[in-house]
Amino acid sequence: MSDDFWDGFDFPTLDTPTGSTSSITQPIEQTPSLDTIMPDLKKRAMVVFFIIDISGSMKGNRIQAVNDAIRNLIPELKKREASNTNAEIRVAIMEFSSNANWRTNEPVPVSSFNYDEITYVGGGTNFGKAFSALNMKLSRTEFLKSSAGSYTPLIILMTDGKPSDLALYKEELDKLKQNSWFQYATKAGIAIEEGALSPECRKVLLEFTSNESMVLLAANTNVLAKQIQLVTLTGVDFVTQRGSIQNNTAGTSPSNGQFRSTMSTPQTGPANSVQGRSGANPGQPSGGTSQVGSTSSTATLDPTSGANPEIPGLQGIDWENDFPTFN
Amino acid sequence: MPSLTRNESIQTIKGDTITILDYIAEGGQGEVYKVDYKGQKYALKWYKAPVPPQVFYDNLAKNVDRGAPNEHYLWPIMLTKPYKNSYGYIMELRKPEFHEFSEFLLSQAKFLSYEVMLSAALNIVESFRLLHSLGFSYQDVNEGSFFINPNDGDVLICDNDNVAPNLVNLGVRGMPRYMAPEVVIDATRPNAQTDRFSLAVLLFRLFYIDHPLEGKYTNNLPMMDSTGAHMYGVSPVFCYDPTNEKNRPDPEAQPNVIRRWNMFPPDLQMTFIRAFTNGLKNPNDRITENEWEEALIRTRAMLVRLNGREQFVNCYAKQKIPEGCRIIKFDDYPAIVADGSKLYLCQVDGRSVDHDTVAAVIRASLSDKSVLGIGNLTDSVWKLSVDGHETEIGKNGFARLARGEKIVFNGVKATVL
Repeated sequence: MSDDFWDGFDFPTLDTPTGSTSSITQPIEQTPSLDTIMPDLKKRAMVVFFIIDISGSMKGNRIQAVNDAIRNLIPELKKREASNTNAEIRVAIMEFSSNANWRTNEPVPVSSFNYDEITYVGGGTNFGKAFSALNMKLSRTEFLKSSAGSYTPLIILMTDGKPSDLALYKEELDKLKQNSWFQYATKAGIAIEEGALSPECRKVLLEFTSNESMVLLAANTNVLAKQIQLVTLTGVDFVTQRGSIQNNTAGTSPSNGQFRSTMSTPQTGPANSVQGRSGANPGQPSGGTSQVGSTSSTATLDPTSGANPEIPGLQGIDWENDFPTFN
Repeated sequence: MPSLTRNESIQTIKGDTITILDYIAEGGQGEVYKVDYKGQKYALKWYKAPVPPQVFYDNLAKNVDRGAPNEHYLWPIMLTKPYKNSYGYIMELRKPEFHEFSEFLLSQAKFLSYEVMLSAALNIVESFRLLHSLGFSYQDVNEGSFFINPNDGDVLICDNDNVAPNLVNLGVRGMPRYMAPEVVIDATRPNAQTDRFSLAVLLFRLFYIDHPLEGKYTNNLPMMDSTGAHMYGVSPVFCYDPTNEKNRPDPEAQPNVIRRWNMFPPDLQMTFIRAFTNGLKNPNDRITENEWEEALIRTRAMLVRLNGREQFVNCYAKQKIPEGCRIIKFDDYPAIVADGSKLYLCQVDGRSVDHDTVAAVIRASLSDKSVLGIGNLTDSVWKLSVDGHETEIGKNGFARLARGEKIVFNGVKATVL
């Protein structure tokens, strides 16, 4: 053996010694320079769906107000995308009237998203077409395709009208509600101008969201931008926000991916007193210290209530078999 | 809208005046301003509603009195009196050369070298060793609280307002994906042992970018509260768990850890395996800061610069010693050295934990590049012996590193191979 061989060194915690005689002749694998292995962080996808009514009644300033609201929202989303390590925000836009049409062939990462103005086309307000088109795309093989996985999506439906397909839309909505992705999605409805006054319009949005607090009224186009921004950014911030979670309290709770415990009681009673919960943690004010609450401009908006049906008893779940199927 | 305006004055609890200079930023919990205090510039963190309660304020006042564990903490220096239904504290301003940890994950900042990356890890671990040894816990370890200088690995730790005596919690639970499993399932509140879990996640991402508990299995679960609690709380699975392959990294989704896992020497790998298998669900099996320091110092000892390029050499393996290198075999680990290598005080002084002070330099002979020498930068005298010849080198002394040579450093012995 030449001068420059050595016999290795027992690694104290390895069961089998690293390296073997066969590796003697092999050169040491070259360490790639840091420049050649720059981080390539893949984030879980979070798709924000905008479903926009372009029926005849949206003509004029209403559709322009929607355009303006979304245009102003995109830079805010880009900012959140650039600074967060949790979620890749993607945008999908559907327009519907008598028919439904996707403006995006697939969800577009917001970092490279350019918003094209939506123009009104005319026609009726066929919610059934929109629900059916949405149902098709809420799938791992369609719009929720992502190697790093997906957050449950955020779906925002904007309309000013009552259903033209009164007899038909329910059937499509019932089918949509069978889709696990839809069930667990955060859903919001925005009723624009006349829609805000129309019981039929509000009824559809309530059926869509299953949650009264997620039906927002924009009685005039002045508040439309604010409402769109509110639901979108509140939903996105729950996933991308930088703050930490506080021991929670009633009212606003962190949403998808923030691991709000689904157990109502702590797992081990005695451990809590050992951990000083009772003695040293008396300071929760009645309003809660949730930072989440303070990030939204309206304290009443809670995207989680009704949006995430809770799965009871975490410990009892057979995760391989009992978990709902997400196709 | 910032709640304080330029030139507004706020009283400290000692009765001094803080003057607002500029609004800097808004975080989840409050706003940050540049302020003047006693003629110097500082950062003021000002809480937003809902303002943390009185016990939080009282604890901050105690932290101000105690002072920072070491220079790596952007510690609360002074607390304000309650003002406009809120309050705040001041700390040193963060210098612009420091980048937030998340920027390194997002490729917005990059380390100069692996050596610097290891220095940053050592600085973080050392700071937590000190904090924990004083009886405190940090409680909210996450990528937003650490700032690193990418050129020298210097670290600044901010958001020290949740620091409290271990087992006392003032409300924070932590950040998703960094919380310990027992915190996720609400079985306990953050404490020193949950800090150690979160610290392991942070260190893992420092080296491997991707998340230790994410892989093929978790990619497939849609992320929401219940699945999050499952993946990170109830039944987390380490992506390189030797006994459970179901959550291995996916080449598309977790490419970084795949590329880097075998690149770093075994000490790092083995320590992470322990952290996320035995230590995953058992808080008493978490890796202590001393263990991290040991693993990191050994990892750094297996990093060598060859022809201007950094190379990790697994010195535990039986193999050819790379040209231009020697191995200095200490009692319990080997170090590889080449022209330009350094040994640190903790390696050559049996009583030192100083991983930062360079104690020895290795240089190639000017006339014969294959001959290496060691220079002593410490005040101690080192004894070297080879083939019956004995020499001693004191401060700034230099001696040849010959194969078979025995070196007695300050309470540490080694053999040159």
